[in-house]
Amino acid sequence: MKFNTLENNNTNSDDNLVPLINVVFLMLIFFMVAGQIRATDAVTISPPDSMSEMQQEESPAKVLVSTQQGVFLNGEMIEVVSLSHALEQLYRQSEAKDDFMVQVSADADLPVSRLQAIFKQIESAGLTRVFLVTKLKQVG
Amino acid sequence: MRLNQSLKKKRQAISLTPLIDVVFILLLFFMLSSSFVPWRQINVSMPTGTSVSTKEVVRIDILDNQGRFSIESQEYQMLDKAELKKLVNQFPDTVFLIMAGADIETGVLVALLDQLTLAGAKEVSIGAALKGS
Repeated sequence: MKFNTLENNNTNSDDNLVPLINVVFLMLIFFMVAGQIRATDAVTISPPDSMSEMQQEESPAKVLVSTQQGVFLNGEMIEVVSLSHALEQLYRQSEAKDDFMVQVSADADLPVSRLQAIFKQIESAGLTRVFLVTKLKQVG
Repeated sequence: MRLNQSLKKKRQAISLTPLIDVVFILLLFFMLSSSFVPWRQINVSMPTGTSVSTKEVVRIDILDNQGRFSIESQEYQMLDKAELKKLVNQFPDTVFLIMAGADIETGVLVALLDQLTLAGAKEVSIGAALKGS
């Protein structure tokens, strides 16, 4: 039962790839449209869930507080005591001083006392617009 | 000058392999760099003092990481939705000020804020707990 063996040999071998390309293109379009590209954080933070409607905005000062790995300001590891000074410097350098805000991402299992130390530093830098980063809770 | 006439007779399809290479690289890039986490943020800004609120302030103390909290030395459970609703109705037009001890986890703080908002509370603040005042 060997039909068409001659013709099959003649056709381009790339033809077999067309379904593959179709699938890969679909996946590409899915990731391009559905995914959001954002800079990766210095450490992985698992923030608490919330039902806040406020979308995360871009912030000139991002503070990461990891339970295990310490405190990071804009990707650089920093001591808690020098955070206030560094934030003041960022504020002085920023062009849109009215829109300057501090974004704090903390692990969900971080004890409040450690967060309080961070907020004391932010407060002593004289900054009042502070936001805590959370993940949207999936209801169900 | 009739070279390559035979080639032109049947049009050669473009080879797809380089195309696939490029598409695969693009696909890898988008798969690795895109994130699907729905990020949100909570405002913890403290009032600057110019707007003095005339609203009554109710202080909530979180007792443990299991979600027990107390108001005026009466204990409540965060997950008890009916009780929370009753509580919020009991204090209409008030600002709930959540306070937490040192060993309470941040997640519990945010969860309580959520539950109170779900129960109908209009103003809940976690700023005081975070600032440790």
